[in-house]
Amino acid sequence: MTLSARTPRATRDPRPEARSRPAGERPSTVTLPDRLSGAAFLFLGVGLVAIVLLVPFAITVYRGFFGDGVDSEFAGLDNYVEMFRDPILVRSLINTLIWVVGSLVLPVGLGLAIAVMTSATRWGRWARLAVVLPYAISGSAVAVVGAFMLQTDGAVNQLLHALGLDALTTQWLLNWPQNTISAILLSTWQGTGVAVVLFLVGLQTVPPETIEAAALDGADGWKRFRYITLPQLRAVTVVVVGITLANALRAFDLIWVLTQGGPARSSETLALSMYRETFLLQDAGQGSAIAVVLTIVVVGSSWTYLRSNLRGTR
Amino acid sequence: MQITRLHRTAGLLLATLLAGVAAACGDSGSSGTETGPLSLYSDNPTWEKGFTDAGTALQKITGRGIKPVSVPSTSDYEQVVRTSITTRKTNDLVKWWSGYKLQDLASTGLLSDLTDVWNAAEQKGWLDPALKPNYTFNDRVYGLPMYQSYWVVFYSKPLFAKYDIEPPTTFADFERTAATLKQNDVTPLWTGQSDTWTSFIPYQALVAAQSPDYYTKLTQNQAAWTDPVSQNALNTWKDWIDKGWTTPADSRLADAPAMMKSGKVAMLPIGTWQNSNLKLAGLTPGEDYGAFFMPTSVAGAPKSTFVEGGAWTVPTNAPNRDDAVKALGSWLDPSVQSVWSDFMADSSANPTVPSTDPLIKQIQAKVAQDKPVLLNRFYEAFPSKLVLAATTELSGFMVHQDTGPKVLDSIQKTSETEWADWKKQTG
Amino acid sequence: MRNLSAGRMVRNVVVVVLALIWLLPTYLLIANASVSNDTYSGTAKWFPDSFGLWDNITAGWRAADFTDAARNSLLYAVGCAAVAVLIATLAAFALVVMPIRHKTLWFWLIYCGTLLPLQVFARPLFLAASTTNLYDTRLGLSIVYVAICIPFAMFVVRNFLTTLPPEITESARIDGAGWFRLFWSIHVPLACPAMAAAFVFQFVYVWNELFFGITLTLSPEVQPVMAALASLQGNFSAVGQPAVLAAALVVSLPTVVLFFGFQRFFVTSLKSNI
Repeated sequence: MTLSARTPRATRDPRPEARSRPAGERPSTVTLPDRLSGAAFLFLGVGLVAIVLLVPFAITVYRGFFGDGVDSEFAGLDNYVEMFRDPILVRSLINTLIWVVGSLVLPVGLGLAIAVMTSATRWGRWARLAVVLPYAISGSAVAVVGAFMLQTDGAVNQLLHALGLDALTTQWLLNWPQNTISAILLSTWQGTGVAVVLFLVGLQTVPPETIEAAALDGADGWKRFRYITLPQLRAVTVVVVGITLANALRAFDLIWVLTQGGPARSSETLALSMYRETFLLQDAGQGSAIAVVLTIVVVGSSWTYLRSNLRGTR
Repeated sequence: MQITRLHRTAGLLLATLLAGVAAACGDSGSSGTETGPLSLYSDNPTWEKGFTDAGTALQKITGRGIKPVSVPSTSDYEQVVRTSITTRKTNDLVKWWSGYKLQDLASTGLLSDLTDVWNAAEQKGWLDPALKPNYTFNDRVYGLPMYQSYWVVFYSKPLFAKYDIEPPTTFADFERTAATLKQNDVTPLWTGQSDTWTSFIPYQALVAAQSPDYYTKLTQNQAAWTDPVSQNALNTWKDWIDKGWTTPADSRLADAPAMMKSGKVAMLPIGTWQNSNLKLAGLTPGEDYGAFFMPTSVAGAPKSTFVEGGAWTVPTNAPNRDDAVKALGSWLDPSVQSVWSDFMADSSANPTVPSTDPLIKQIQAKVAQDKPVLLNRFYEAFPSKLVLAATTELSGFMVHQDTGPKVLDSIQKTSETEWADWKKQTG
Repeated sequence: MRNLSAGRMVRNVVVVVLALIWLLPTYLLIANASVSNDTYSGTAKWFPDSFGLWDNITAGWRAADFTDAARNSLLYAVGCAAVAVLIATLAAFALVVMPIRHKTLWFWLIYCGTLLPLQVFARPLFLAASTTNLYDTRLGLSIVYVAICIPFAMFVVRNFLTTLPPEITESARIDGAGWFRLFWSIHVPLACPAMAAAFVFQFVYVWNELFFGITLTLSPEVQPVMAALASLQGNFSAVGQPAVLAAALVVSLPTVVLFFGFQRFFVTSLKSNI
């Protein structure tokens, strides 16, 4: 910890394959005992994830090549073709992408800003608490809050009305794309705390003077933040972005409790579409096809991000 | 030192896991029990007390009571039931829906035949034979009614008194009532689509007000969704929305009782099962609110009301299947039903059991007097996929009322494919 | 100097405004959980005209028995999060420090678990749970929670370990320390803040988890607290909306307390390390 705070190595590449190998040692020279103890360390983690998560997933994917519950004939790629013909599923894909962009800009950007700004002052922890608090609140309460804020006669419209901004009032939950944006804002309200806490973990490796100066001083401070603090936060940024990306793409609960994906499926994301096809329509084939597309998008974008992140450091 | 500690921790962990798995795999014979209560599965945790109490009454007749377990989310419940009835991990009694939803589940062949139970109950006068088609698939009965809710319009008595309005008896009356309320800044009618399914409420009411016959034909795939009756229904609905007679489309049903209580909204079209929720909001039936049946809108159209009854089913894989079927034979017994309908504050499915709730009593009397056509409510009246597609389209209509013709076209199109699928599924 | 204080002021204003924006919905939540059931009108109240918070909490608590459920959830949240973080740290250690082959493959194999939508697992897991008799058991639900928690925890800890200089490992290896000793006496103490962060997130996740809580369990003896909370809502709600909100607030208390405690832990570890 003490060492890492100031050595340039702290900014070393967090990519999976760039981990420290004992100097001069190459994989081919890994000894059997080392390999065995490596296996022992990995065994539980890999085993549990594989059995509980990956195998069920494979079963679901396999199911995707068959028709729906009625006759379950082999359907090849029909389910996939069907998917891209359906304008609702295409919109669902668009919503998913809006979620990705929105979540990367809002929770990650705000999370970093709040973590940096509040870590420099003593009373900052109280402001931070205000931001972190909603993360601890359960989903059902968040749903009720969302309705309070966003319904036609809800708090947001009341506020806009009180401020004389009637032109800005809208039926937040009923029109597209406002309903998707509303859901993202609500998710930002709830989820930014995660990013703040994670960035705080990262800031521990940065000397406080750097942060203090960066947070205060105009252009010079910004430069210092950009070129000194930010690179030291790279490892934690990878975590935050990685997690945000995954959560945005899988966004389900919050949309489900806020709009159920409606009206007329206009706020659905791929995760909701999948749920609807598989469990509400009992069309396991189509549902699995969506799940596969969703997985390709999630894993693909995470992979791209983690890899391009590695290129950036070279 | 530290190494041994780690070894111990890791060893302990692994041992615990393995021991747990072994223990869990060991007790595989936990399925059938000789005595004790039958397990009952529902999506309604708030009914558990009612089930247990009815079970106590049932135990006096059949020797076995009821132990309810529930899943609090309806969509998850459906999923668990559909998955679990294929295994031995299912329950003795499973709450389900009537109509096409029941046929859908019965078509898997995993539900017990209850035809004899139904016939015996009907002979004793415990069941209305008119309900039988709602519980039948391929000429066999697979479910028994749990309760009997009628669809009415609850109205706020204080608001009606304040503006000197009587419960409407004609459709013109109804619209005059709404206009008066609106003039006085009260939203006349609760509607909403936040819960998705609630979007069918105005549609089914406006269709049945014109022609119960058309609705019945629609549920049998003998009429088109694009028919003028449906078009008229959407036109009237659009007119109501335009006039501001309905609550915003993002209103939630859970808030409806509170909205009525605070005088924001005057009428709530819903099943009589909502009676207990209105009471819960602190309203007194008969004093704070009353109920009327939606009047017919076309001269000469027969009176009708929607009914809703849920369904008891017994999976073929149920651990205590025979006892569960036997228990259902006594479910409609008046001594059981009086306990149950009191708990529900709603009608019993057994017409010989009177309700103790003054408002429900009134509604039952009105049904006995008017003999309205009983229609199965929208949710169970079509194949599930069609219901889902139609409610989705109708919720879109609530937001964009100028899309009426497109909405009906789209439902019609879905209806053609879904009915074809349905025929294939049920062979 | 003037420049500095201007910057400070702008920053302070921004922080205060953000905090207020964040507090507004929280305030509405608390205010409306305090409205008595009798005066609740179906839409949010800015200023409650009555105070019924205690009544609401009692009503909520009575309608759905939270005592057992809360105990279950505490067990799941503490136990599963701790076990998952331990397993994840072991894996992260292997991936970062140990000389093993196919690191990328193993990393993605575990990390994939956090990328897949949960609903995908439901059906196969239910069928698997019911054939192995793990359905409706604490153990069955715990195994699923542990597995779900591992990938994220592994990711957090792994990334923290990559910030440690490899010299630590090298010198210890030259001294002849075995892998277990290295792990337990050097890396675990160093990775404590990351492990703690991972634990907190997984605790909150498990505590707030509803989907598997109601898909894989049935009996009240096994069900987690969110299932009890969910039973207050729905078409046949047993209590009014304010009581639902009040119950939801009370149920959120453990996670709020955890965050309070965690923030303290943060400040101290910040001081001791730099």
